[in-house]
Amino acid sequence: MICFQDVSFQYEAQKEKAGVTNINFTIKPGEFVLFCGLSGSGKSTISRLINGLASNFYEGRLAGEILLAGKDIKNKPLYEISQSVASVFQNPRSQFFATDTNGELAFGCENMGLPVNEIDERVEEAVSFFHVENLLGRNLFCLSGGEKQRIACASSYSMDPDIFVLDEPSSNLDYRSIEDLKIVLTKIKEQGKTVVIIEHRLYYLMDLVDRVFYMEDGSIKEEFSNAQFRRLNYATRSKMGLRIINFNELYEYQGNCKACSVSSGQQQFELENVSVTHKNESRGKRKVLNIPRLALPQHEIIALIGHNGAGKSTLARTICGLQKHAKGTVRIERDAVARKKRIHKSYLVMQDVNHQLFTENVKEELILGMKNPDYDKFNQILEKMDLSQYQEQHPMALSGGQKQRVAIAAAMTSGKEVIILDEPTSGLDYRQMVNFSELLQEVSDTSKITMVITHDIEFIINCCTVVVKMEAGNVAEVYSKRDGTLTTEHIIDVIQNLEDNESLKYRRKG
Amino acid sequence: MEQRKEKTKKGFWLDPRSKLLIILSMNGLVVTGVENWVLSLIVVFLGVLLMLSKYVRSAVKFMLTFAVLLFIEIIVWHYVTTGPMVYIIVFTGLVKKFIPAIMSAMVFIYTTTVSELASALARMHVPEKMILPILVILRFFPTVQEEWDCIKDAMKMRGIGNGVKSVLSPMRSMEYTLVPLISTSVKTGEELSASALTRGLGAPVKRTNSCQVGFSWPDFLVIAVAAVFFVLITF
Repeated sequence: MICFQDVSFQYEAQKEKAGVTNINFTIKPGEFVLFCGLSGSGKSTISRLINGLASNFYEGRLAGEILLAGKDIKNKPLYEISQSVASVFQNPRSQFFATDTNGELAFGCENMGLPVNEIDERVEEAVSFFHVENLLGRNLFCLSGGEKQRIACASSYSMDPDIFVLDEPSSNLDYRSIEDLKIVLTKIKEQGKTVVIIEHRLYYLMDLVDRVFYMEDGSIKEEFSNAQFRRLNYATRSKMGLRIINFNELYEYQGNCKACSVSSGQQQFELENVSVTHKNESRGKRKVLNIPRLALPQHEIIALIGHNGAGKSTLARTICGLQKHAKGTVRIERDAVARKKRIHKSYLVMQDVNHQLFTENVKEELILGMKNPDYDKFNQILEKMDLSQYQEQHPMALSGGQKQRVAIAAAMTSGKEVIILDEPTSGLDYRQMVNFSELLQEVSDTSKITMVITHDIEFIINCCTVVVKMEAGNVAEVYSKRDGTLTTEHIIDVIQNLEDNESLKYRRKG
Repeated sequence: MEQRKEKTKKGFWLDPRSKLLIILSMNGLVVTGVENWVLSLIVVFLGVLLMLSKYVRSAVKFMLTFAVLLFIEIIVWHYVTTGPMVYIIVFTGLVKKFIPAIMSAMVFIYTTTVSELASALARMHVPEKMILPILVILRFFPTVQEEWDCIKDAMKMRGIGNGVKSVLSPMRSMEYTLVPLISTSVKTGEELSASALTRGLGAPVKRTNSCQVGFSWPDFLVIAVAAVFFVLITF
């Protein structure tokens, strides 16, 4: 049982992270509860209050009482709370302490000081419970996001907690991995564990949740039972900034999507005989990309879909000129562009934009790439990206979404012709996603090639005009609005049936 | 369960303690200054270890670099007698000594998992307070590597940090590398500790180490080889 009585929490240092005020709720044992709401509404803080990270790890002021199984956890140290509360976080990359899966599965139990044979037993149980036998003995850095999240669940399960707290566990996952996550969550629920989940993506949870809390500005605005929540119509929920609860709602998208006007530009960029072969030290040569011919229209928003290891990133890196030893020709408006030249013409907005912000303030960041700064253009872009008031700020002090806009703006000021974005909408709520779609429309007007690697079906339907489906290093199919092959129905079907290609999964040193 | 243990110790496997011993002994020898032929043997030995750990290409690269440096040194020593010779000899001499250091570190970092190291250190009776920071450092190497690769790509696309300009202003390009590297590492570090703490790290109980480490024939073999090196230089 989790019981919050007049709980408030304000962070001391971080301005961007939203605290919560006057939170009251009771969660019964075995209940599956979802917290949703816009970014910055204080959802994550709820999860941190339950697992004890707020106040124990993130400094801040905590008022009110949080009772776990009847006991106030306020003055309890984290290691005590951790025995009954398991946590799974958003970023699969940074929640592992061990470097191999076996070590990770045992990690929690080792910290509890359990005897070795009991640890072995518990780990074995968790492994068979979650069916992660095939992941044993692997290097964690070589697993896909979905596999990492399954290991994270299994590893916390082995500590035998009563409560699972998950903070946006699906944001870095593709459709298939989300399905796997759903299976894992179903099993946890069947065991009678209490689950508290913070999420933007709702569709995969609808069969599981018992109650939904909607948060706004740090407090609980509304509470729904599953049935009540389902009864809300699509329009109401999208006004609340919530994402779809089932794929049928995607059909309603077409009507209210401004961004779908198909541009009439006839110019194309082409790839011819493009191939990339990986020479892995331990596994020998493998062709990870092989595209005989691909022609795509310019000034459109192109979505690149496919499973992990299908070659999406390799293709993106090849177009950007970052992929060394890539063979073949890339033509932009009929001119073949050599690899080194492509690096200067293109920009890849990475999933973690922190990697590409180099300077002390936003203005400098944008000027950095300009050869002869043109201040008119500069101000125009600043305005467009809604960054004017942040000019003097340090890029690192901005929120995630703002950082992303700075990175895109930097690409635009330096006159890049090719802009490719890697999973830009993971972790965005509905409202942010729609805003981002509009922004991308602007980008595609100025840059010649705008391409997005994405798993986000809502985003694809919202603004992409071409969809490229990758499979095992090949382009399996191209759907486009222009020739009518890109329909909502079609794309839902495609996303749900993407081929998983295990053998091609690129593992660095496994 | 049997299968679980088997998988971790497939093929050539060294106890972390032997690897530590290799790092200390080989670099100790190099620092004291050994003749070229001993140095070459050390490089070959470490190269073989790297190859056995399946890092064949890196091993070959290091050994080739070493051979080239050695070759240059010999040529210069014989045929050039003017001033620049000194600089070249100093340069090759320095780089030559770094190669075994990097190779032995690679053997250690690439092949040791956090849990193995934890077990090994506990067996060496290293206090728990010291073990944790060491583990964190080992955990961070691959993370920094990943981040470094991303940052390098990002810099290339922005046209900074490479080419003539960056050579002329090394401080600038260092700043461009370090700013994102530090900020992402801090973020990763924060998330990492949050996650570790919610799984009971730091509880006032004696930590168990479920990962089995222990010496077996490959360990004795490499220790013997290390001993041979010491014998070689004493006589």
